[in-house]
Amino acid sequence: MRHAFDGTLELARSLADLATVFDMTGFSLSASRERVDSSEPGLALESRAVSRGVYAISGSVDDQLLDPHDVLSRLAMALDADGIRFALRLRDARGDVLVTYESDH
Amino acid sequence: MNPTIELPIEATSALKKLRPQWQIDAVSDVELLPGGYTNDNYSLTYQRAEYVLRIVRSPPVPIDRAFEKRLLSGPIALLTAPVVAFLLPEGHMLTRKVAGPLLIDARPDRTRIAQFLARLHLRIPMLGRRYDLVQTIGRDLRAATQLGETAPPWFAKELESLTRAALQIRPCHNDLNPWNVIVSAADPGRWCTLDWEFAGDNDPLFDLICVAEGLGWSIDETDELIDLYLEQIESSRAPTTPQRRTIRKAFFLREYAWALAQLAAGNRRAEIEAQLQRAGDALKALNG
Repeated sequence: MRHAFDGTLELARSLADLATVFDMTGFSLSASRERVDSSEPGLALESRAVSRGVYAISGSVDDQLLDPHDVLSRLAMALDADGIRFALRLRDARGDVLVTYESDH
Repeated sequence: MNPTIELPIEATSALKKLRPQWQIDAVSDVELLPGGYTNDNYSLTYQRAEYVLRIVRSPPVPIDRAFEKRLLSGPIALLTAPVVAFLLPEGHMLTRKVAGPLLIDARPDRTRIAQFLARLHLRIPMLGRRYDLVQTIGRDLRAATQLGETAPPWFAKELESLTRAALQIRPCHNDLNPWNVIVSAADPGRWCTLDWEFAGDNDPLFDLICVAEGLGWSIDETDELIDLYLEQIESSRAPTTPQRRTIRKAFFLREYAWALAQLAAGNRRAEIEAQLQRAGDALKALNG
């Protein structure tokens, strides 16, 4: 089963600078100026610019291959460690929020 | 590359509990990974994703697996491989496989290893658990004795002289041999560290000696690593030669006692016999 997630990132720099943050998660994620991509089996991730410095991200985790809570938690820890403001929401099959991760900053 | 094997029955049974939603027939490319003295580690593939399955053998001294699980999913998650599932109380675990050579094979230079150690120690948060060397050695010795293996008299004398091994305390790994580190990135700060079951507050020099001894470095090379590390971590600490040697002695005492307990419990692998011999020889050599 795939578990959807979504959220926002607020960046004072280019999306491409997230490469190091994504590297910290241990998943095969990449970032360019315009978008983020995943080549990690079981993890889909995409982004779109909402306004200046604010990006909406969405994706899904296949629970056959990964633990959705672990994936979101690792993403949140890596973003937090880099001082990025964010909110990530893991949703259940009906679209209801199961858990929310937010930056401490 | 290791030969492909069929997943043993015990491992298959654990995997079914860890991932009930998997079609076990679809698991492929199973390999037994070398280096596990007390656990069996298998790499395997499922739906194009690579994993490592850890099957825990019952140790002579119990390990707090619930603590380990909390650690892996929380404070040190980004320092280790992504955990997919962890089974309590057994401690069997499934993680994603992290690409890269082991530290024992990669053999980066001393400066990079010092950078890795400094970054690792700075990033491990307070763990709320002490790893006391004297108590740990004592526990292993008691377990060995209960199982019929008694340490020789010279060992007890050496242990008695180890009154206070740890001089400065901070969160440490405590089993940081070069088989437990994957050189997974160009930046040593992002190398992946495995096997956190002994993590706890200890003297950080103990981790340095684990790495240096695992790499077969001389005392001079180990001292150079300590100096580089203290520079990297910007510590004003200046351990004296006797203080450095005390931690080194504690390392060999731990290695000896651990091997003795494992052998007493019936884990008679040649590598563990060799560890007992090596640690015993090193302890005798320390006294000239």
